[in-house]
Amino acid sequence: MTDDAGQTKSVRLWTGTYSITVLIVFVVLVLLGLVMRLGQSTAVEVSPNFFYAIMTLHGLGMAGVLYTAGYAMSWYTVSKYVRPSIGLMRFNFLLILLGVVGLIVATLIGRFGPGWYMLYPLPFMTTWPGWSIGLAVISVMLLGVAWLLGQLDLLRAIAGRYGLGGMLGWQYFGKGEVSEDLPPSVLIVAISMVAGAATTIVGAVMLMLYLAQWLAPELQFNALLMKNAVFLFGHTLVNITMYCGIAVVYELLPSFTGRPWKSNAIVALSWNCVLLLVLVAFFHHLYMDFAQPVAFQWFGQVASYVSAIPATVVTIFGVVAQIYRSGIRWSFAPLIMILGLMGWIVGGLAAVIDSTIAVNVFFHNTMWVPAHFHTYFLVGFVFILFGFIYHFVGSQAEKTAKLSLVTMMAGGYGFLLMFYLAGIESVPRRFASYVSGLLPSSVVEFGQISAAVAAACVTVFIVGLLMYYTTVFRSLGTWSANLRAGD
Amino acid sequence: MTIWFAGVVTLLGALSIFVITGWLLYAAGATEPAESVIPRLYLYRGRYFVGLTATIIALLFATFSVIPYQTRTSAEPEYIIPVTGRLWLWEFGPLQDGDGNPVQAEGSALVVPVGAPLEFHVTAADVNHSFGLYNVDGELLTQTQAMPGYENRLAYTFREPGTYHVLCLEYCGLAHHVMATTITAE
Repeated sequence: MTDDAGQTKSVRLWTGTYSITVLIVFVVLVLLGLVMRLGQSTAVEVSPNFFYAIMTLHGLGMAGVLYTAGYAMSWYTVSKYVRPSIGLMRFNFLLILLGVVGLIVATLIGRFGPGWYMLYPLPFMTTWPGWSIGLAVISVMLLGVAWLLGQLDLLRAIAGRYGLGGMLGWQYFGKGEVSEDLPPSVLIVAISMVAGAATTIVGAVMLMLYLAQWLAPELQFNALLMKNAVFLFGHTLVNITMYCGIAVVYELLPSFTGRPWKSNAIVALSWNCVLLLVLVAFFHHLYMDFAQPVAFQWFGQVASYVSAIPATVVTIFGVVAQIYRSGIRWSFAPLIMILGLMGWIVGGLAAVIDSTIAVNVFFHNTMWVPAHFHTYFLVGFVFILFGFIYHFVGSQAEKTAKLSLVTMMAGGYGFLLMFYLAGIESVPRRFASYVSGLLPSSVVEFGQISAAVAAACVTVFIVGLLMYYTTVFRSLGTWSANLRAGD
Repeated sequence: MTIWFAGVVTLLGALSIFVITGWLLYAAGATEPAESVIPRLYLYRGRYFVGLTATIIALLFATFSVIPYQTRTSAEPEYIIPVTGRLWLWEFGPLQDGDGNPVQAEGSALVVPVGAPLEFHVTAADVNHSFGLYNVDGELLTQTQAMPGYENRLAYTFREPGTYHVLCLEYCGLAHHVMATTITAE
């Protein structure tokens, strides 16, 4: 079954281009992660220099490529209702490619390794060559420009049809019937792009300051202000990635259940609250920066806790209303999407627990942190993405796809369990190795053992991943033939 | 205790989510019109919303009293320990009394008293580090960021004599994983 959502040939072509590119880059980044876990387990010798460089590339790469994938899915989804720019999508593909190549050179050759959020002033203060700093900063700026232009273009397209207040669902707060229904997917994408554009500008300013310091090393900026800036940008980027995936579920699930999913005042209120909450919750990344105003710490915890309300009351109950006793046939696409939402909620639970200041004292910068965000992404957003791409290319390889899903779940949750257990054992995150005699022996032992088991689980996940890839790639011939024959 | 409680809550919560998802996948097989499903569901949703909101409010009140930040009502420490993180080692100043007067000779090995409330005054000379205090069993006892240009005050009372580990918990470059030292409490 090929896609029949009515999008134009150009829209389908560029969505396909982005999707296939994401799949290729994703597996390479997963392999980098496997190398990291093998190094930490001592099964393979990985020099700290190389470890921290690939850690930086893995983090920047995953955050960037998964946001790009979420954007592409959303772009395709809302193209059913509005007309974003194809030319810009083409231009952005080139910008993003240049940015990615620049980052690969800066990290793998220059060994630029400050970690994905490049916490100021670390990029300027240690062992990698000066050229790699400039190249990395400029590369991330190219990515940021592409993302910001894409966010603004989608907002232009959506607001052009629904209006500024209309795209945020404000018409549902008035009395009487609305003149034109706002699809929930469009509402969610609009909310995500507003948050994204506002905070990408903050990230852009931060990167311009980084560029200034690279050119004039005598410059210095306030470390706390820069940390707030990078987390406002980064926290929002990864959250709106998830929201883009959820928008696609709101759009696609009704086609499998036969039940409509419409916007109303509750849905609009919920997502407007999400817009406010996502812009405030980022303070939970700075709980251990005691110099931060205490009021901001409280805002972070309140916003993080309250985020559970729209997520579960509206989205999860909306999903239940869709699928409960709907008679849906659980083909691969809707099944993996529901399991992706399940992963989102599991990761969210771990995140809310860590967003408690009193708990964060014991979990901050331990393995609990990568545990929760890998849950959101690996068995959350990525599952939704895979369901979308499978459906988009019209694959019919149901048996292989479902077997790949079982394999990825086994490997994925096993991998994640090792992170959570390591967090409970207070194993620090971002250690290239666990050195005996220097660290408590339990940290060394558990760090190495959990890394070894995680590496084995990642290998299982990769087997499932490659099986899934066969279901997509072997449908590409038919998909591209249909595309050529189409409008 | 907090760590294990959080772990158990996460495990039970995750298992509940798995079970509910499994049940939903199974229950989707039967057919019932949306018009009869949705009113029932909205009833449960309303109750869930009230319950969740009440739980959030209760947890916020319960946890806000347990924060590590120094406030106007925090007790004055008996001892102060200046700490500076720099690439890639920890420097401790001499142990001071609550008024900042040294009570140990400069250059002597740092020994902290057991049972006395003290404060680590933590800063960084270069990049962000994080002062993570572990006991010899590998339990993270407390932590605070070491930030260039700022001093963070971390209150702690050592309950047991022995050796404690200090690890850097904020990634700081090539030797981040070996930026560690020990403190003796007597």
